[in-house]
Amino acid sequence: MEGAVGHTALSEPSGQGKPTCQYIDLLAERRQSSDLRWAIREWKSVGDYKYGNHLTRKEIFDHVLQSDRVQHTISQLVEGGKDQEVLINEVEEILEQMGHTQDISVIRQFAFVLPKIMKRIYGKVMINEEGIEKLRSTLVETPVVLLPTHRSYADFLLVSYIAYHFNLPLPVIAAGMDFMSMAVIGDKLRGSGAFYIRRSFMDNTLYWAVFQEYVLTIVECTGAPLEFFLEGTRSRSGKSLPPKIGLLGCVSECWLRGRLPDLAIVPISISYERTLEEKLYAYELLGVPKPKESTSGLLKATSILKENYGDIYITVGDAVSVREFLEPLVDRHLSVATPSHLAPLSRPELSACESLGYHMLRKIQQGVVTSVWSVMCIHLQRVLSTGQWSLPFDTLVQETAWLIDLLKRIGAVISVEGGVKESVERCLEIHREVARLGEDGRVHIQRLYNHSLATTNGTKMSLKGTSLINAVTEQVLQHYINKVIHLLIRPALLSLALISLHTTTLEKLKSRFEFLRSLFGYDFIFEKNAEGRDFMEGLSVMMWCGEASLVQDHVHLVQGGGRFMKTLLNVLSPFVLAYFCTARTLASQEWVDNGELVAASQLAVENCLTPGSGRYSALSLDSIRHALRALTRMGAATRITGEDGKVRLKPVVQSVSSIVEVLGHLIRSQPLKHKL
Amino acid sequence: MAASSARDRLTVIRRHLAPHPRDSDLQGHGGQAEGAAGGGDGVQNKGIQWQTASDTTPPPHPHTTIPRKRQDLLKWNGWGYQDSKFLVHKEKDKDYYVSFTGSRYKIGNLVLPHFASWVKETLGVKFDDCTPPQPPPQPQDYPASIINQEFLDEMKRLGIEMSIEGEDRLFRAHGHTLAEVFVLREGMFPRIPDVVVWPGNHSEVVKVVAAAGKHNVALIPFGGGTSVSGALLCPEEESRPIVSLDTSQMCRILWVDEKNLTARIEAGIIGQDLEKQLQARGYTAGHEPDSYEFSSLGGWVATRASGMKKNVYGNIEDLVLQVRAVTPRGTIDRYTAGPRLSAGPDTQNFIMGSEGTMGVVTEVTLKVRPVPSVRRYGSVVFPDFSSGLACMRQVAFHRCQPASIRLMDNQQFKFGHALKPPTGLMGLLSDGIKKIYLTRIRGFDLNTMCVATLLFEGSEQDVAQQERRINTLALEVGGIPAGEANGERGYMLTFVIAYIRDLGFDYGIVAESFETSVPWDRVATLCHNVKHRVHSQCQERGIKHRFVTCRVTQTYDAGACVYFYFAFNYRGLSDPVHVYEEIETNARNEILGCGGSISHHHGVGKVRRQWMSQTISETSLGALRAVKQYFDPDNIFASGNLI
Repeated sequence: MEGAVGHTALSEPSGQGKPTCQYIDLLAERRQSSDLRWAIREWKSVGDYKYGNHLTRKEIFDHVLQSDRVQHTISQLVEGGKDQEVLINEVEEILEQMGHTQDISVIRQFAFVLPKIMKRIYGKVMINEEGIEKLRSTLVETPVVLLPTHRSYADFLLVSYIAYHFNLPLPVIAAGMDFMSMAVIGDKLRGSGAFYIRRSFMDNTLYWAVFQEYVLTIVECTGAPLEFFLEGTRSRSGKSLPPKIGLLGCVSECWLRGRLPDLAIVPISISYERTLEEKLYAYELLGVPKPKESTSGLLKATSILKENYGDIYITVGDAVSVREFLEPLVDRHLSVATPSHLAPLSRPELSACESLGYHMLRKIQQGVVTSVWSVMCIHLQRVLSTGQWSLPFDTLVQETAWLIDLLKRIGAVISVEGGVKESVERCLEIHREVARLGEDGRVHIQRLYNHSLATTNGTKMSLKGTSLINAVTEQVLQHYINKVIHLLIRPALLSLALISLHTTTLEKLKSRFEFLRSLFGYDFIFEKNAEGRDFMEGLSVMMWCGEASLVQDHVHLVQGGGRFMKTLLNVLSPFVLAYFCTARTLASQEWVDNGELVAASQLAVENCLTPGSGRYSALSLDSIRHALRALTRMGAATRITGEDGKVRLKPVVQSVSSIVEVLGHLIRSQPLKHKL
Repeated sequence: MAASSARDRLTVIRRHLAPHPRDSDLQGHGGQAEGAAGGGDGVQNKGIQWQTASDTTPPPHPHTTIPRKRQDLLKWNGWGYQDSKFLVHKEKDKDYYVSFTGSRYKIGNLVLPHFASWVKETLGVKFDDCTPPQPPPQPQDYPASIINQEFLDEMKRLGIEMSIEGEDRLFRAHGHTLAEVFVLREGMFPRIPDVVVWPGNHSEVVKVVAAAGKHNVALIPFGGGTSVSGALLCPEEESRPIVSLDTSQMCRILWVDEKNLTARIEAGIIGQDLEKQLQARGYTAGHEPDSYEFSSLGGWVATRASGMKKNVYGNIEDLVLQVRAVTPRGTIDRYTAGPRLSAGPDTQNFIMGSEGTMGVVTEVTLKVRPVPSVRRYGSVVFPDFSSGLACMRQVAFHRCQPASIRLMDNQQFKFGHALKPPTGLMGLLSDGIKKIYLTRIRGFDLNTMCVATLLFEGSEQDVAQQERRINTLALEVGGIPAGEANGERGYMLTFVIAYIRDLGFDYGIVAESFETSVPWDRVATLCHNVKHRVHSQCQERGIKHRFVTCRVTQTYDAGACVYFYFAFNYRGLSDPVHVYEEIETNARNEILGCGGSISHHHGVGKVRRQWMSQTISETSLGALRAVKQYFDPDNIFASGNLI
């Protein structure tokens, strides 16, 4: 690449008064100097927490073991008949397994290897330098939690690498246990500051106590930045996943229990132009189980090294003060008279932490830099839904330019280099596996389904081969559409509500909007208690682009919906279909809650699809699971434990059928029909 | 400069004071102040006539340090005595320096060579940028009196002293919060008391309260006027006449019972008079809040005050045996003077801490103690605040507190240093300690070290033993005894620090203190978090120069009292009082969130009312309201404090 180009200014939405962000390329310098010299350079962090203490691994362990919480838990268990010695040994074992070390020599190894890999597979690694400097000054003042998006394994070391690059204090990273068992890599990650936590341990009181104190010790005593993934796992779909509040609640406790004056949470949005795992994710979402993390699996992925994965954009967002966010939502004075280790978070406190989680995801989304490819995928998917596998290049450029313009005006930051045409060409080069420019001047979408990959995993596919031929390609497209969907979801849901009601009062429209927002609340991220704001945002976008009008408290659909509305509905249609089929399947009988229902719903979706109808991404198990969660929460089914001890989902006829009815109506009122 | 306006003021006062001796430590009581009334506005002005109430024989003529016309001795728009204040001087072609005037305090008539540079550095003060306060108001500047003629007539008939003069009314319209003093300097209260009355004893109070009920006027009791909770402010929405019930003329010790070591005292007596009179007989009450020069016994009871030497004598609730108070419903009394009572909830507690909302305290039976033979100061320096705190915890754990033990943080340590009279750098350490200190000084960082000040009282033997115990405990956590002089200066500064605020005002500095009580395990985090919150709030508001400091002033079995000082340079801010209040609100939220209380001894008044519901439950608040409803159904005591 043109290595010397260090700075790129991304245009931001006009009219919002924000200055344009300066992104600089981390690799530019690396392309011109020795990686070895870079890795062994004199390194000292600048920006350490002013009240932080350096603690060794041993000191952290002692601090955890001596903590009131762990001591109390041990004495409780001793009362229950367990042996104190054994328990203390257990704590030590947990700590050995969990504990991180932070060894600058390991960091240096990564500092040597990572640029080598990155230079090979990525064009540029762009980061907003201003965000880094803000982060540095925040780090001095208050303990910081870093919340990066999780879209790829590559996320793992990226933040640490950035810290090394900018001489920031190195983060301590919460990692899932599955990484630990990876040969060499597991230990290297530990050495670079990762600590390992089991996937589920809520019922193990001792583990829970040790884990909490471990996290609190890092945040409160060392003041080292703590990094974890709010979404808990890599999002296969490319969308934000609902926040996991375990760790967030744990760190919030520092403030909730008055142990720290404040805590800053910094959103970090990592936007990959091309995701390393794009195809794996597609298969996984369709029902091919994920291979276990192993080093050999990683080595197999070395074929990756031959490919071009485009650019990465990293936005370090503004810090959110835990205090400022939580203070209006909680009553700290109610718990202060209880020793803090004996005062678990109350229900309102947990709920406030959940709000914080959603708020942070929203902040993360706002930092995302959208690639032109995501915008292109919206059109490519639409082409597929008309039964075509190709379209003229010029049409794609025009459509993309139109939507880019619109997106920018509603707040998107889009990485357009040169003109749109050049960007589209560049994207087709990077994503040539998915769509490429033919010599006939048309863009040809590729059929990605690969028999060998599906069968080597040895599990039987429930989907038909014909479905998979369409589905894998569409799923990959959907992955990239999903990366921009957070910008569209509010006007899209409004459009969906409006098209189903035609002309309606503001109030009815709002109530339909809120219903849909609640129904799709796991697939898309909405802040809690922000229904009104979301509604107004959706409505104002649609009014602003002239496709809806408000006359005396009545909202009108202008000319049956315009180009933008059709695009939005098209984007939503796989979700509507998935939810409709899931609801109808749920309504049909009582289900044992063991995945049968998910499979049956997927089958129901498959039966609605015909080649050439598009919407194959409705087969995503992710959406089906989200739909079930939402339906259960909305009272469409009740969870009952039968005499055989099995948990069953029993449809609540009245509410489930009314939901089915609304969804059916939505499908019928859409421009494109399905065979139902 | 402040000095020039003060000079005008002084000539006025000198005229008033003409018939009296120049230095007036035991200056004439109200009755002698006849000539001072001035104004000639037809208000009755016959001086105090000791109206012999039919039921008591008058005890000997009371001596009050503070005259009825308080403004003759005290600043009308700031803290304390007129003759005591910080002054800024400019040496020819040289720098500015600061001195403290008057001879009432040990710091008096001394040049403070380090202070000017400290304020410049810490608070960004520019000494050539001075904003003097407004001159005293002219008669037409005061809000007009709402007069209830029948009430006035009745007072006249009863022979109860009163005044509707602006100066008298204004003096009783406020306490000493930052906001109140700021108004005095730059504005005028929208509402001030319409009348001031001075009942001379309990039975006159009964008559005043009855008359107030009969003529539907509101009463706000006034003791020493040192409130820092907005308790004396007149509610703006009060449409009835507001009468300030000044208790200062009820200032006699009625009797001292030497067999039981108790004394019956009228509630208007101020701390320094109480001590002077008791000590003349060989006794002490031992209650010394920082305001004790001016604050009154009734005020202590009404706010649940705490004294510096509570470790020996107890807080006010420990000192009081009987409280007599007049409510619109009648008189609250406990007849027995037995040392403890198991007779249902203590109804005296309806009055203790009631902040003038239920009635007015008229007489109190206090415990007294023989004056101790030895009173000695001491101090210990610690390498940092947390080791100092560890020592405090140990002292409380072993219950070996001396009369007073206070731990100042590093900022306050440096501040104390800045107020040192001219001496060498090592002058703060007494000679005997210097060597030990020097050998170990390498371990101490001037930017983290802090100091605990100590006050011992008792027999020589007791005191020596106490000193040994404290020193042992201090050594265990790395502390070093640092001599008497440091300790004494620490306590002297407590009284002087209130004067500094008036100087600050002249140069764009506003300052205030606030306090709390907190369990031991949360003291450290509370101090840290509150200071952090104040700093970050300042930062948000673009306040560059600020001084945030705390000290632990009392220790208990289960926790401690923490006292914060906060000052900032408000040049460039449009409404410093509002900014201050916002920041203090933040600080109080932080305090409550960190396990601290709404107040340890300042009380609630109006400025902390919003946190009552986070302090006690709705049912508990309801009980308070019900009690108020019983005692005072027509809300005669309409200060609006507390609830």
